[in-house]
Amino acid sequence: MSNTKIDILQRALERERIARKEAERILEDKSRQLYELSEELKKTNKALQGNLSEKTLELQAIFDNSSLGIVLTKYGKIIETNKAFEELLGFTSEELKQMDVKSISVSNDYPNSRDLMEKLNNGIIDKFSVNKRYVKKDSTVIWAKTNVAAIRDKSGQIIYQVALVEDITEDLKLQEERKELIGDLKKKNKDLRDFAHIVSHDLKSPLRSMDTLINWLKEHCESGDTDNFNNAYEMLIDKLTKMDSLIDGVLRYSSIDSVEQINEEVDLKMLLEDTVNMIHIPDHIEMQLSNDFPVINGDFFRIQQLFQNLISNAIKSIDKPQGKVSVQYQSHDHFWEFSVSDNGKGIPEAYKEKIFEMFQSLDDQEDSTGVGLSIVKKIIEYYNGDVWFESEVGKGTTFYFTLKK
Amino acid sequence: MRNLSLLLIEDDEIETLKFQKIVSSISEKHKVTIAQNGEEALKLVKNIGQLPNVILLDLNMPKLNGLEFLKILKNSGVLKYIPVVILTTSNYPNDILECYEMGIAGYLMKPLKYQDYKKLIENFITYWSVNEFARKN
Repeated sequence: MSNTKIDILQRALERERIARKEAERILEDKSRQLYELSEELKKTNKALQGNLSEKTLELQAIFDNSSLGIVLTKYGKIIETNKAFEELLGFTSEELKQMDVKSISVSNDYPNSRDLMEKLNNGIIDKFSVNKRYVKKDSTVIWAKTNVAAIRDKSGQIIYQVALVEDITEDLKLQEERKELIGDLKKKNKDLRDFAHIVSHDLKSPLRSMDTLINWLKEHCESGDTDNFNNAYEMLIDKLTKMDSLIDGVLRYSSIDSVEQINEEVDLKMLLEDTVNMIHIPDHIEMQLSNDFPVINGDFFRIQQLFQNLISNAIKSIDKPQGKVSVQYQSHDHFWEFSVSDNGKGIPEAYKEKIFEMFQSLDDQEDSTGVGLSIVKKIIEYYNGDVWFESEVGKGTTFYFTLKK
Repeated sequence: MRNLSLLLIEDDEIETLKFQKIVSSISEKHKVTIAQNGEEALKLVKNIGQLPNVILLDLNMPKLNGLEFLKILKNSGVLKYIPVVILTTSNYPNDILECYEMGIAGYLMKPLKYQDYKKLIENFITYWSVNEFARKN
C-alpha cells in the first residue's frame, strides 16, 4: 500500500471514530433526558395521586355532611345513600341498598318521576326537579324537592343517577297556612266592604223615610188633617220597627265570627225541639222532624241560628191551606247533610245566587229584612260546609246544607 | 219648558209618595209612573205605548235590582235611549262606577232632610224639562 492510501484510510477511520463518539454523546444525552423526564413523571404522578385522594376525601366529606339527602341510583336501584337521606327516611344505609326508588315513593307520585327518569336515561333531558312524596320507615309520608341528574361515561352511557333530596314538608305546610291566612284576610276585607255598603245603603233608607214622615206629621198637624196624621204616624212606627230589626240583623250577622269560638257537643235533637218551640208555628202548618238526629261538634247558639233561620223562612214561604215543613238528615263519610223542606211558594231559578246576599229579599213583606239567609250562609261557611237549594215555583223548596264531621 | 213623563222605580212606599207629592207640587202637568221593582218596570215600559222621558232608578230593590234592570235596559234596542238617573242612598264607589259604565245620565244621592230632597227633585225637574229627548222613528 502506498503511503497515500494509508493516509486516506486513517483519515476515514478517524472521521468514523469522531462520528461514533458524537453519536454516543447524543445517545447519552437523550438517555439522561429520558431519565429526567421519567423522574418528573413519577413525581407528577405521585402528586396527582395525592390530589385525587384529597379530592375524594373532600367529596366524601360533602356527601357525608350535606344537609340535603343524596342518593345514587342505577336504573331504579339504590346504590349509595348519605346520612342526611338515611335520617330523613329513618332507614339504615344497608336497608336502603336493598331497596329501589319505587318502594320509598308514594305510588301516585311514582309514574310522574318514572317518566322523567326515562327521559333522563334516554338522553332527552340531563336533569330534572320534582316535588314528590317519600314513605318513611314508620310509614309516615314527607314531601321533598328532588333534583335528579345523570352521570354518564365518555360514550354517554349512564353510570349513575344522583338525586338531591330536600325535605319541604314544613315549607309546604307554611305555604298552606299562609294561603289560608290570605284567603281569610281577603274574606274579612270583603265582609268589611260589604258591611260599609250595607250601612250606607240600607240603614240610611229608613232614616230618609222617617225624616219625610216627620215633615208630613208637622204639615198634617198644622192643617188639622187627622186621618193623614194618623196614617203618617203608623208608617213612622213601622219604619222605626223595620230599622230596629235591620240593625239587629246586622249585629247578629257580624257577630257570627267575631264571637269567641266555642266547640262543644251539640245534641241536635234537643236543639231542634228547642228551636221549634221558640218559633211560632201557625196551626195550619205541620212540622216534621226526623226521628233521631246526631250529636255534632260546634257552637249551640250558631247552629240554632242556622236552623231557626231556615225553618222560619220555610214557614213564611207557605201560601197553602195545609203547610208542611220537614227537617231531615243523612250521614255521609265525612259530613252530615241536613235538609229543610217546605211546600211553600218556591224560589225562581233567577234568584239562585242572590238570595244568599245580604239584604236581598224576595219578599215585599215589611218583616223580611233579607238578613236571614246571609246569616245561614255565613254560619255554614264558618264551619266549612256547603249550602244550596232545590225549588219548584208553586210546589216548594228544599234547602240542603252540609257540616263536616 | 216641556211636560215630563217620568218613571220612578222604587220599592219603598214612602219614597214613592214623597216623590209624587213633590213633583205634583211643582206642576200638575208632569206625569209620574211608579214601578215597585225592575221586573215591574220592564213590563210597564214594554206595554205602555208611550215611553217615559226619564227613568229614575233606585239600586236596592227586591227581585230584579237596579243594576240588573239597567243592564237589560241598555241591551234593548229601543229602551237604551231613555236616560236613566239613579236615585239612591248608596254612595258605594263600585255602584257609581258600575252605573256610569253601563251608561247612566246622572247619579243622585237621596239627602237625609226632606227639604233638601225637595230642592233636589225641583232641580231635577227644571233640568230635564229643558232637555231634548231622542225620538224613535
